[in-house]
This record gives sequence, C-alpha cells and structure tokens, in this order.
Amino acid sequence: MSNRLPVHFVRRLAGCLVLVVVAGCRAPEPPPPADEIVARAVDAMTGLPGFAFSIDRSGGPAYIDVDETVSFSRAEGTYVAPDSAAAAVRVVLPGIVAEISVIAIGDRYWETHPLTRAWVEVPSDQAFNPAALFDAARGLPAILLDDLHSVALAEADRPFELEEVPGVEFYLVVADLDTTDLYPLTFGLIGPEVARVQLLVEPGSFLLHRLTITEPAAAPDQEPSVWQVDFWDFGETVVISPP
Amino acid sequence: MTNHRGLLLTLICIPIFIGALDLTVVSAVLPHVIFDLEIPIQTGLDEAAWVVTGYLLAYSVAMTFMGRLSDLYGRLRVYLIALAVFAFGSYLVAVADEWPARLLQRATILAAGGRPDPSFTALRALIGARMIQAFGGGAMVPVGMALVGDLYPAGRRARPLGLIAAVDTAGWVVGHLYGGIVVRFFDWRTIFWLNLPVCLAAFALILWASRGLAERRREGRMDWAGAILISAALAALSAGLGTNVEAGGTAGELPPYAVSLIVTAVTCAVLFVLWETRARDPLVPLGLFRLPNFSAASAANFLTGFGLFVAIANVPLFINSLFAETLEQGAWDSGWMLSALTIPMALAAVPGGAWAARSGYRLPSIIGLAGAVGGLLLMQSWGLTTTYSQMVPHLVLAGIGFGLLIAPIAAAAVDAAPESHRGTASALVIIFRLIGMTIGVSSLTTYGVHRIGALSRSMVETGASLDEVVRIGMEIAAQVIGETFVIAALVCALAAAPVLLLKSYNRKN
Repeated sequence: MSNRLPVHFVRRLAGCLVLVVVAGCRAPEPPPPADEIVARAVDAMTGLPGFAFSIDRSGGPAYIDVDETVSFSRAEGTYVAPDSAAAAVRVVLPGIVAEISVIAIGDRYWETHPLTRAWVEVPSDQAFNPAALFDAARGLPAILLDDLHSVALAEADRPFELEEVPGVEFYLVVADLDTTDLYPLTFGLIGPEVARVQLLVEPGSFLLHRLTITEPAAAPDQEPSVWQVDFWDFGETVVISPP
Repeated sequence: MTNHRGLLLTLICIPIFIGALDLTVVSAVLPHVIFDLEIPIQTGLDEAAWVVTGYLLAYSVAMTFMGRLSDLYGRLRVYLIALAVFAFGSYLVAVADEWPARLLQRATILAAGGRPDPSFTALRALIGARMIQAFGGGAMVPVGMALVGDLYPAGRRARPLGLIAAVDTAGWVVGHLYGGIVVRFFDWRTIFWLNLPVCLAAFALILWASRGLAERRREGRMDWAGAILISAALAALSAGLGTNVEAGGTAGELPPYAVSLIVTAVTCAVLFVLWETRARDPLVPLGLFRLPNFSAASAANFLTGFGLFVAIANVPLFINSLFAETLEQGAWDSGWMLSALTIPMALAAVPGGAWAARSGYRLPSIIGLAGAVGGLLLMQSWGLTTTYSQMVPHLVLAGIGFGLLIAPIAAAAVDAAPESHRGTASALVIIFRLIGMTIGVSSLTTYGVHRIGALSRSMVETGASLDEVVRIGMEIAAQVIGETFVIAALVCALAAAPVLLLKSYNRKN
C-alpha cells in the first residue's frame, strides 16, 4: 500500500489554505458613511416597541427653576412606543437630593410630590416629559435626522468599546447639534446654543447605545454641561399605566 | 522588652483610637456624603445609613473572633494584618466613588445587566470599603487586649486593659467632632486619607518596638463554625432591622425578606449558643454568662448602647434638618453640639468608676441611668424654635448619665470574670455595647423613614408651595427625631432591671 497522499487531496488542502489566507488578509468591511449610520440608527430606534434609558448630567448645573435653586441630576426609566414613559427624575436642591417619579401616557402626565411621594397630575406642557423626548415625529429621532450638522465618523485610534457593554465595538459618530428643537422638549434644560454630540452605534443592528451632548460653558469660569443618554433593553416593553 | 513595653502599648493604642474614631466620624459628615454622591433622601436614606451600620456591624463581628484567631496564629502578626486591613479599607473609603465604584458598576452589569444607578453603586462601594475598614479596626481591639497578655504578667494587666478600653471609648467619643472640624475645611475624604500616614507610621514603629518579642501561640483550634454563626446572626439581624424602605412607602409595610432575615438571625444565634456549649475550643466562654453580674452588666451594656448611639446619630440629623444653612456648617455645629454629650460622658466615667469602687455598682448605675433617660426625654421636646443653648443642658445631663452608668457596668462585667477571662470579658463589654448601637441605628432608621413617609402623606397638602413643603418637612423631621429619642429613652430605661440585679461590690469585701 502506497503511503503517498493522493494529488487531489493535496490540491484541495492547498485551495482551502489559500481561501483561509485570503479571508484573513481581506480588509475589514469599511463602515458606512456617518450620516447613513445616523439615519439607520434613527430607523432602528423608531422601529423598537420600547427600551430603557438613562440621562445623566455632569459638569455645570442645569437649573429647572428661574431662581436657580433646583438642578437636574439624572433620570432613568422606560419608554414604550409610541407615547408612554415612566421615569425617576433626580434633582439637586441646596443641601439635599430628591427624586420625583414621573409617568407620561399620551397627553397626560403625572409626577410624585417630592416629600409625600403622592401622585399629582400636571399639564404635560408644564413638565419634563420623557415620552415626548423619544417621540418619533418630534423627539430625539427627528432631531437626530434634521438638526445635526458636520456629521463625521471619528477617526478613533482603536475600536470604541463602552465599559457598560463589554465585548461590543461601536461606530463613533460626532456632529454639531442645533438645539433649537431640543430646547422646549427638555423643558429648557438643554440648549438653545449649538452643542457637540457623540453617538455610539452598534454595527450590524445600528442600535444607538449612547448619545452624549456637550453644551458650551455658560461662563468662562464654568464647566460645560455634559448630558449622557444611554439606551439598553432594546425591544423590551413594560406596562405603563396611570398611577 | 520591659523597656519597650509601655512604648509598644502606646503604639498599639494609636490605631485602636483611629479605628474607634472612624466609628462615629461619619455621624457628622454623613449628610455631606449623601449629598456628594447624589443619593436621593426618599429612596436612598435607608441604604445610606449602612455607611454607619455597616461599620458598626463589621467592627462588632471582627471583635467576636479575631482575638481568638490571634491566640492561634500570633498576636502581633494578626494585629499587624488587622492594621493593614484597616489602612487599606481607609484608602478604599477615600477613593470609593472612583475605581472601586467603576469596578463594582462593571461587575454588576456583567452579573445582572442593565445600567445600575452610578450614585447607588458608589454608595455600595463606600459601604463595602467602610466594612473592610471596620473589620480591621474592630479586630485591633481584642487582639490589642490579647497582646497585653504577652506584654504584662498576670496581675498587672488590669491597667493596660483598661487603657485600651478607654482609648477605644475615647475614639468614638470625639469622632464626630473630628469629622465636623475636618469637613469644615476639607473634603470629607480627607478624614480617611489622614488615616494612611498614621497607620503606616504605627505599622513601622510597632514592628521596630516589638523586635525581640517572643510570639506566644496557644494550642487548640479556631472555632470557625462559631465565628460564622455569630457573624451570620449579627449580619442578618442588622440587615433585617435596617431593611430597605422608601420614605414614601406604605407605613408598616416591610419587604418579605425582612422577616426571613430576622428569623435567620435568631436561628443562627440559637445554633451559636448550642455549638458553643459543645465546641472543644469555644469562641465565647459561655460560662461567663452564668455569673449573674456578668449577664446583668452585658444586658445593661446592650440597652445603653442602643440609647447612646441613637443620641449620637440623632443630634447631627436634627441640626442638619432644622438649623444648618450649609452642609459644612451642619457638620461643624453637629460636632461641637455632640461634644456637649460625649465630653461630659467621658469625664463622668472617671467619678462613676471611683464611686462604684467605693459603694458598689448599683447606686451610680441607677443614678446614671436616670440622668441618661431624663436627658433623652428632654431631647424629645426639641422643635423648630429650640436653640443650641437650650439643647446643651439636655445633652450634658444625658452625657453625665451615660458616663456614670457605663463605667460601673463595664467594671461589673470585668470584675465578675475570673482572672483568665478578663480580656475576653473586656472585649465582650464593648461588643455588647456595639451590638446595641448597631441594632439601635438600623431599627430606628427604618422606623424614622417609615414615619416620615406616613406623616408627610397626612400633613402635606397637594399643591403646597415649596416654602410650605420645606417648613412642614422640618416639622416632620423634628417630630420623628423626637419620637426616636423617646424610644431610645424607653429602651435605656429597660436597663434598670439588669442594673438592679447587679450585686453590690465593695473592695473591702
């Protein structure tokens, strides 16, 4: 019996090796243009039945009241398409931090009393309504499509990874944001100047995981206000009912 | 070695003092910490109280078995390890909201998903760091006491043992004042950064001063089962009583795990006692509790610890809720006002001890108890119009009462123990007081948070202006704090029963 390998086997093996080498040497698929990433991220967001979100502010304070005694710190909650949201909003008062729960369903809006935690209904245009913020027609999705300028893909030295989402690399898109439309939606907290934004979008699914909005400092001796909006639990919904 | 004995004892006392200092240091700065970490009062107050409760708990747990561990593995070695743990814990507290919080945040995301609230993650990192710090701090007390056994011959140990107990008490007596002063001028983290050079210097100097000291090790086994059971009992009890509630939650409604935790605590405590009666080398010589004076003094220590720490925790809470314009001023004022309680207490402990030696334990204890209960009941009357000058006499009365009470009941416990168990008895005196403090803080925080919720719902009308809400909030705070003073007074008053059981002791007899 011959111990030599058949020629056809050697040829197949060589062919496989060439394929492997070619596949390995092929350059990674280039990312789509930055504005296409944004458009697909908005598509992905508006197609979701719901998601969880958090909004964290750092840097300079963002006052809610005219006397500049109450400032926004954080909000965390759930959005259910098309027009419902429940969130806990944290505000900083002099020497104390308080939390207010809010529920928005359509045009109706409820919030808890800061001390008693009792629910009260207030006109939805007189409060920070998280459901309106994520509304497909006038909220963040529309703003990202219409109000971004100088959209570009950041030339990061290395693939971008979020500490909170281990093992996933993101497209990092940077742009300028005209906050005119965002200003009323955030009850005057963000804007009305042009702000710098960063979007972290997951390749493949084009899900927006993080949106960072950096506002210019109000005065030379103040820090800029940075708003970090995170999204997770994509597609998950909860039942949001009136309190 | 004899020449270095006094120096070594002094060096051992320094970290013990700092460990005890950190027991109460946060009572003045906790509002600062809560604000700094952006913890909302309605949903986070109960968890934030664990910055205090966690320290008390880990301190008490370490005290229960680290002395025994040092018997087996070498006192000096275990003491230095405890000192290193305390220093590392202090460092962790100082940086808790930085890399430890990020690490914990990432671990929580990997384990449970979602995006944990960074403020609460930082708070949990801080509580964990405080517990590590407390474990080292608490371990140093019984190990330091055991080291006295190596340094001093039998018959000459009473004075150094008393010194360690006094240093431990002095630490938590001035902790709040120290905290208030530091926070007035620096960031609250400075308190914990300052521990590091002191611990480092103490570590090096103890190593140097102990050269040539023969490490004595006893034969026997470490009672790990006992250590685990007593730790589990204390932890479950504190967690069950300090169960997480929201200020707006329904009054009287506790989460179901609270009852399970308390049942677990009781079960573990019963198993501990059963185990200790059978263990070859028990952690706690239960025979001590057959001595009537020891049992009575332990019960009295537990009950007065409850009342004492409620006063220590409530005064800063009252000042911060009603008077302080800023957090710095609140910490500063709280520190000084609490001195009106703690300094008379420390001063009264001296005549209290001497009086007990002359006429027996019962009389000074009962008079002290009456003063403490009376002071706490007077504090109940504090309200929106109370001034600092009106508060001081009440605090002084309670302080003198506690001072007169603490020294005789501590002496009663230690004197009752046979010579070979005096070190253990000294440690148990502190442990019982600490357990009373832990239970006092955890249970009354839960009570207070519930009551604030209930009173808020009944007193604040929908649509009330912000000024009105603030005013009513202050009234509610004053009322609830007053109620907890009454509870503390009643618990303290219960100590009258064991105190009356103390057999009169006279040196001539």
